[in-house]
Amino acid sequence: MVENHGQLLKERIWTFNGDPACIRAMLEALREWLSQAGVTVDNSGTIELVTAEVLNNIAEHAYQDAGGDITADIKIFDGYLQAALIDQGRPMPNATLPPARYVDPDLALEDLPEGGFGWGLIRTLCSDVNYRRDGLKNHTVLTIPLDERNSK
Amino acid sequence: MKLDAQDHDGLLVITVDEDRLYASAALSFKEGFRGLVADHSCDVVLNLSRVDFLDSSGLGALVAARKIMGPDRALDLAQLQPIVAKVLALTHMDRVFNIHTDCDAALAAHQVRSAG
Repeated sequence: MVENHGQLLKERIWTFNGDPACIRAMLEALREWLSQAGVTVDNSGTIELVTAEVLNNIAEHAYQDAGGDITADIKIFDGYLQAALIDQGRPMPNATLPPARYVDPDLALEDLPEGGFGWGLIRTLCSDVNYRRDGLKNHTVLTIPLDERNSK
Repeated sequence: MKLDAQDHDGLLVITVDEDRLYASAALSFKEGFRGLVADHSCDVVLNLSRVDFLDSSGLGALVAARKIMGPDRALDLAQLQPIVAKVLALTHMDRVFNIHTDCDAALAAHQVRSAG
């Protein structure tokens, strides 16, 4: 895991059920909190996107659409944000993160995939992605750089 | 899922009147879209000017919409906000759709296609 040495500026922890409505509410609250913390719209969009991707994966795969507790511990450091997402669902297969997937534009229309893009987005947009299994819990930790250009 | 359809001289402009195309909205988007295009046989432009969030499920819904149209009809996208454009570019899905800066550009492109 990459060692970051920025100063912790702000932290917020959410605990919620892993169902679509609660995930949506948490992401809206996250967007509001990021805005109040002075994070740019661009960075906020990226953070919300990668967080949504992990939360959707937790709901669908770790909890298999049955719901379950999720804790999101979001820390804003000087120059980057760290999102630690913790659930008590099934472990990640092979204890590794799925690979990125890109669409082949030459595919016939009916063969175009409608899913599987989430991990590619996460890997591209995060400077670090870490997964570990700890007892009965999954810990997925994303590090997103905060680009200071276009600041408010 | 609020979808607003307007016929512009043989081109159907569907405006997505929601600010987020989330996982939970994907199904209602597909169903609403399918209902709207079933009544027409022309090309469609999807106006995404209001949408400020698109995740991979929302992207899947756009692909499903493209498939619903079939290979003989065009589905173009117009007025993408930065995060939406970013998701399409990062997944290379921007090569699957024609993307226009706004609806006027989409209409102009349609007229060129129709005349050719």
